[in-house]
Amino acid sequence: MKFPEQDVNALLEAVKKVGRTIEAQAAIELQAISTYDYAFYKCVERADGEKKAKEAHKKVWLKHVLDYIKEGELDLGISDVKDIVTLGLITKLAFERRGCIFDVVETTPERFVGAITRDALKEIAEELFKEKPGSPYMRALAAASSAILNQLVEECRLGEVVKAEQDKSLFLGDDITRIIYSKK
Amino acid sequence: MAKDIVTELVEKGKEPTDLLVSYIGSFFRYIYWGWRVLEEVYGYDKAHELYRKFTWGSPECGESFRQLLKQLDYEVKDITTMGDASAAHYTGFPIPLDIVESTEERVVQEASFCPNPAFGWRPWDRGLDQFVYHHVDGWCGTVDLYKNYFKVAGLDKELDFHVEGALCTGFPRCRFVIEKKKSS
Repeated sequence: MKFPEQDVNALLEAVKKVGRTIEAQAAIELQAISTYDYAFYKCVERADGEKKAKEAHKKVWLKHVLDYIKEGELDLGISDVKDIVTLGLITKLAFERRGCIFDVVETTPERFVGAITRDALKEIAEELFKEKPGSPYMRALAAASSAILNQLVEECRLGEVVKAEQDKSLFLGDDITRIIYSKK
Repeated sequence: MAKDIVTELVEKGKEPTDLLVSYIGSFFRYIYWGWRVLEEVYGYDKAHELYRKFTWGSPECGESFRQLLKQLDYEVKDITTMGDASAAHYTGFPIPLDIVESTEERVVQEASFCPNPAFGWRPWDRGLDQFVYHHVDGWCGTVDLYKNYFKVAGLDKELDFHVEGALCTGFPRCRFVIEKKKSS
């Protein structure tokens, strides 16, 4: 996503003024995403229980999907997502925006496989909030990630020809989060 | 954790500025979508209450201020040290706060930059959508944040706070006022 130059310059000036490196500020922003995602889930859970928290939390992440497509198209210089290869790239960009390290394992017109080897949301929740893989919050994150994939397929109007799967998840204790798009 | 992920991505060739801009945009977008989902699920009044509890009035946010207090080389025990400590916490956003007045009765802080309207608003053409959001987040939320600071530092019975301007609601700068409670 291209932010206006004036805003980027103002941000860099502010980072300089507060005496921090750009890398350190980027790490703070990642921590903020994770902290307030956790706080959102916990706030709704306290008010309304686990089921409602999981539903509302997933809705927040699904709200991001149209943005992911729009900004991915801008970054890739395209106007439409028509195939599995491009869908995979849009997905990689989407997850990288929230602090994932995302490797493309396989990409062909028939099949895309991506591996998230590190996810800031998981690592920060473990470190700061002592959450464990498989906890209700972590399960909500796994469900939200899976829902994002299906929504990406639908919003790109590829639902009739592409199947999305997340057969492994860091949030559930697996070694990676694996994302697979394949032709139906 | 977050710092390691940023370091790994930089080692893989990502530009630190690109990461910062991407993550800060993701953070402010997350809390905006958090607001929108709460409003859709619960309606304005309850959403207003829940949003303020999950963001700036949250225990997670209070904890981040508590961690900061441990790192300061001065004790936060009165209005002027609270002015300094709150400005230090704001550097995390990153919002440089200038302390334009600091007496035993009143501390006034001003900011001429805030990343929320810049990175949460302009690229998405969500200006109209965000009027209500910025009132809840930027104006009411700032009051919650300072009350959270006061509570963590044990100064909630002594100090009061109000906002006199917020960039996100159209003012030329943010202007925050900490005052001694009249009764204390």
